[in-house]
Amino acid sequence: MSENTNFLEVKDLVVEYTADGEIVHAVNGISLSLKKGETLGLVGETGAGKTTIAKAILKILPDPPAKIRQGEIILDGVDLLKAPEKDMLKIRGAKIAMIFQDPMTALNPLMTVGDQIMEVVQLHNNFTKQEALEHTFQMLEMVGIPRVRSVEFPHQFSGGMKQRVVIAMALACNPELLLADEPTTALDVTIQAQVLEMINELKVKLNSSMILITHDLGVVAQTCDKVAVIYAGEIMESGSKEDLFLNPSHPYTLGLFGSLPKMDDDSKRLTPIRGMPLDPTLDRHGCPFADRCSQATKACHHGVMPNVEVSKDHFVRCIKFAKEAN
Amino acid sequence: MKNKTKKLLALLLALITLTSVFAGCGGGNGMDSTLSNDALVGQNDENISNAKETGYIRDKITVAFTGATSLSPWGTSNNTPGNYEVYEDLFEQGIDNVTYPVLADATRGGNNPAGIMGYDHEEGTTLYTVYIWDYIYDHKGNHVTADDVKFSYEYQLANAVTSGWEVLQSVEVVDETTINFTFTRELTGLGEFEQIFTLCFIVDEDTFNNSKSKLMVEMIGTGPYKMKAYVPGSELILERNENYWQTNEEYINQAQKANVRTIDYKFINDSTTRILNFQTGEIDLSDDIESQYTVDFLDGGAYGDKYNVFTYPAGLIMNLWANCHPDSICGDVNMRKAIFYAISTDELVAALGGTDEPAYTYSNNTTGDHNDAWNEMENYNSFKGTPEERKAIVDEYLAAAGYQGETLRLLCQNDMTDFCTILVTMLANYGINAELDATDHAGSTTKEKDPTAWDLEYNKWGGNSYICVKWLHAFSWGNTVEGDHTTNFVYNKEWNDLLTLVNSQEGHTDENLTRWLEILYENAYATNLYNTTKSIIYPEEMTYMYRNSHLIILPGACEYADPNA
Amino acid sequence: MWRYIAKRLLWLVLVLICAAVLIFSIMWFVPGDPAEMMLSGVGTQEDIARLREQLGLNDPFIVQLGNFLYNAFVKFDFGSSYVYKTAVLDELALRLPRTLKLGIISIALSSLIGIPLGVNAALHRNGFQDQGLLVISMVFVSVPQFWLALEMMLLFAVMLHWLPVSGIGTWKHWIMPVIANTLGSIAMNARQARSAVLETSRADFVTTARAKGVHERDVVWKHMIPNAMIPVINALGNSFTAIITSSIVIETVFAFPGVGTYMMSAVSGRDYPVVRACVLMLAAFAAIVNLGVDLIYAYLDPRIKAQYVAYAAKKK
Repeated sequence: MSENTNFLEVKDLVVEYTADGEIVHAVNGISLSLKKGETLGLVGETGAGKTTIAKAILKILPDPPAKIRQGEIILDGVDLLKAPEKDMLKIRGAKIAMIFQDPMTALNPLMTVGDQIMEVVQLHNNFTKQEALEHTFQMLEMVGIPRVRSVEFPHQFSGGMKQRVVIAMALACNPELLLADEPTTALDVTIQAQVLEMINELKVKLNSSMILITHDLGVVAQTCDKVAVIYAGEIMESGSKEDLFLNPSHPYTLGLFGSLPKMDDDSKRLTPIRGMPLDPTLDRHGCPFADRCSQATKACHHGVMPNVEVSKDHFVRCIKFAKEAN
Repeated sequence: MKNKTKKLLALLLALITLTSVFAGCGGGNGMDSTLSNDALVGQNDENISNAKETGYIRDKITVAFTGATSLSPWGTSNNTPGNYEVYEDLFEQGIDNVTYPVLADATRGGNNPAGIMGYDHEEGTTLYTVYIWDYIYDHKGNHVTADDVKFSYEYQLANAVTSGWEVLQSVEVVDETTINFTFTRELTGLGEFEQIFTLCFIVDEDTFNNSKSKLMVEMIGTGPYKMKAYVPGSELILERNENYWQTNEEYINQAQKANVRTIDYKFINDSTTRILNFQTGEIDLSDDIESQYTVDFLDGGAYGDKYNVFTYPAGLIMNLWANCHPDSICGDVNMRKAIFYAISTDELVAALGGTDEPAYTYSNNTTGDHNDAWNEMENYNSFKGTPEERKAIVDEYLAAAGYQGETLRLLCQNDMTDFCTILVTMLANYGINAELDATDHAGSTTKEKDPTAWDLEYNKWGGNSYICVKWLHAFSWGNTVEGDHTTNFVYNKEWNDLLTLVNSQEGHTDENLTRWLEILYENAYATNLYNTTKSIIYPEEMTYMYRNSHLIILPGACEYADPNA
Repeated sequence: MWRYIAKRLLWLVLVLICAAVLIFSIMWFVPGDPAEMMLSGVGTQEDIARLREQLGLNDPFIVQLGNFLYNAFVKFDFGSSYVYKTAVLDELALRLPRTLKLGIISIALSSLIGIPLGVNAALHRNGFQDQGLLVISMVFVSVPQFWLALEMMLLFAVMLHWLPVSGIGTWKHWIMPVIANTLGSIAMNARQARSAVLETSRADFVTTARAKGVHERDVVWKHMIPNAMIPVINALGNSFTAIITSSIVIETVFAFPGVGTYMMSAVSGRDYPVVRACVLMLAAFAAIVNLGVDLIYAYLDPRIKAQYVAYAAKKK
């Protein structure tokens, strides 16, 4: 595979949840791509659909409520959505691994941490018990946990150390794609830095691709190569880190940056984006951000918004730019 | 699941729940009683009154037993199942009230005013000399002698309830087969001889001492049956004693016969369970069945060809008495008369379904000293006027009492609340307000001691073949701690003396009995509400039913037809 | 861990002593006199007074309480039944195994049937297993035990002649009492298991397991079920105690000579030694079952074990 083909390509993914007879449009036609070794930052508010995308890639969305309505997820040439379950079992944990948001509940309280890591190791490798055990110890030490603690239970670790165990578990089988769902949100700031650094190092060592889901723009700046901004299940703006940070274009992106507190600003109040996030059960008409956009026009409330390429690989989904491009 | 379907399902389930609640209550009362009054007393009793020996030995009979008990043979009110089959007394009494010797030697003695063989007694003395057979052996093979008689009497006196035994002074052994009983006075009272000599089972002293449980969980006597197995609280199995000591046919009374090889007593307290056991054939015989349950077992009923029903008057006095203490509103005789006139026994019987008999006097014809003429005495018990006539009398007495509509408290036990509610309603019809106060047995015996706690009480008196003894149980001054009044606070000394008199040999005359009743009715101390019946369900093959003087059925003494003949 | 068990056992003794004092006092204040109960109608007041003296009922409260506590806890002598005249412990030794056997069989059956049903319903949420369970459990829980017992007797004994009506003797005698005792518990256990599994299925670590590529079967049996069993075990412990104490109804209807009928007749007859012994025995039983359940917890869940060890280490 050449350097230029995408390792991961998501095309027009639509995911719906059915709850109490109502349909929630969680993901509304999303497309992304990722090359090998790249890190994509997925930014957005809570409920924007970020975790759903990650779970959809792994195909672990709970089926009664959630349904993948359409789309393609092509990983290394294979469409995951069409792959049979027995193939997915081999892929999960080995080719694609996920790091979860809340370390306090992500581990099985009744199994030792060693056993939980061994589980994923033995599932995807033909090691003997001894070899698996040794590998487990190595993973633990890699994340900074002494190997003697492998017989302890999750409740005997602090939050930060639990997250490190989760990371060790995710990386144990050298995944080619890492899905990190807000891995530092539940940790305090000092630990945050440590964990991010560790993830980065390991990613570089293994040359994995990563999708980092976060709502923290600071984290994006630190670790990502590409960024995509999601609102209400649609990608509003996507491009390289430089594009987004130096040339934010979409009104929503501008709102996000604008709401960050600044060191040199004397104002006594923050500038939030006015209004409430879109009710996901309602049908869509036009741009999902239209109700809250300060620059919205009548045309914004109807039809599909065009995805405009304002510069190389920098896309903005907004009518405003369509006119300007013309 | 769609919302609508969910709601429908919930409704359906709620309905099911509701119906099961109703199915649970109201048990027996719903049963239709097709018994006519003619069918009642003594139905089929010609079947079982012929004591003709059939010579057939039945293999097994299963009898239902209710109540909790130990297997101990002691006590004058002993109610251990099968006690009369396994143990024997010196003398016993059949249902005809004739006393005859059992362990006492029927070939000796006879020198006594009653002319009964087996003992000597000179009139005017306090000494009774009893002779026993010299070949009595119990189930363990031990020889029962005069020492064992002395042991049994002394043990029972010291360790068990012995009603009426205060008069027993000493028991002395004269020789191996002769015992002298000395009393504090001559036994001239009615039934006093029987109270001593037919109510103590004789147990061999060695057998008793060698028994680990001291005969609490095993039965070892001299009778025609011995204990085979016992599961406490569940089952008692007796089998025929092939080595019964009395081999002389001439002296074997019907009660000592063993016409069944195995008698199986099953302990079942719940009446419905008992009836179901009959229906499956797991039980053959049971006493104490309420008449309403017997419908299926009469001839023509579903099980009429396998069983028969014997209904007999229960002989109970269904007593309603008033608190005669001045602290109670019923302390006024006019109030009491008003209350008792307000209750018509005929109406009561009709309200209860018509299967019982009305009671017109404070006695019934199951007792040997009953006099039918008492039904004709003019009083509230026998009053048969129209409701208007009744009302006039009630109003008159209410006015005389100065009744202002106060509420009377009717005390009764929990299982009688349905019946007492009828009483309350009847009183209300005549303008008398009453309310029910139901407690359990123990609670009511405590409450009745407090004269300020109740005004009326309903209870039942039973258990003896002489009416004067039933009266004594009810109205003896010995029932109260102070000893100078009856339980319902009657302090009338003349009446009490009369009661003692009728319970003695010479005083037991019709004249005295009638006088006692007159005083009862003059002062309106109590009334007898109605006469109820009990039924025995017995197997078709039983041609003769033996009951002793305590109305206990002895299955071994009954006669059975050969089902294959 | 041993320290914890030792501490609990010490508490157990204390609890039993309190229960003993409580039941003694309650029976003291309830109106009604055992001597009178036994003799009313057949004895005079003198007989009754004599019997009271014999039974030691005239001593003051403290003396009687003291005697009772001393005999019960030091000499293990609970006296003799006023009615049966036999030693209470001897009678209990016969009856308790029966009631326990009935209870244990009922619990075993109800968990063996109920828990899988509940788990199955949870795994097939909204499927016919789930709806079916809802209906069945509503019915079983609503049906009154005695009604069910009588209906069964009518059907199986009277109409079909397959089973005997009542009593004990052969294994056939046990079938209907066990069924009557079990049905309600099956429903409760199933519902408990169902909700426990449902809650656990929403847990994050279940998603983690799936994300690791664990086969769904193992996700359920290695990860979900062990965690779901903890509240189920708790409910089982409660069920056990409830089944034993509610056996009274079953025992009465089926003429089953167990502890239930013994205690019932003792209460209405004011047979104090029997009531005290039965209540103490039931209290001991409940306490021991609770201890057992707690220990099983500790074995299953290391977090609980850590809690216990910490508790035991506290200086008291």
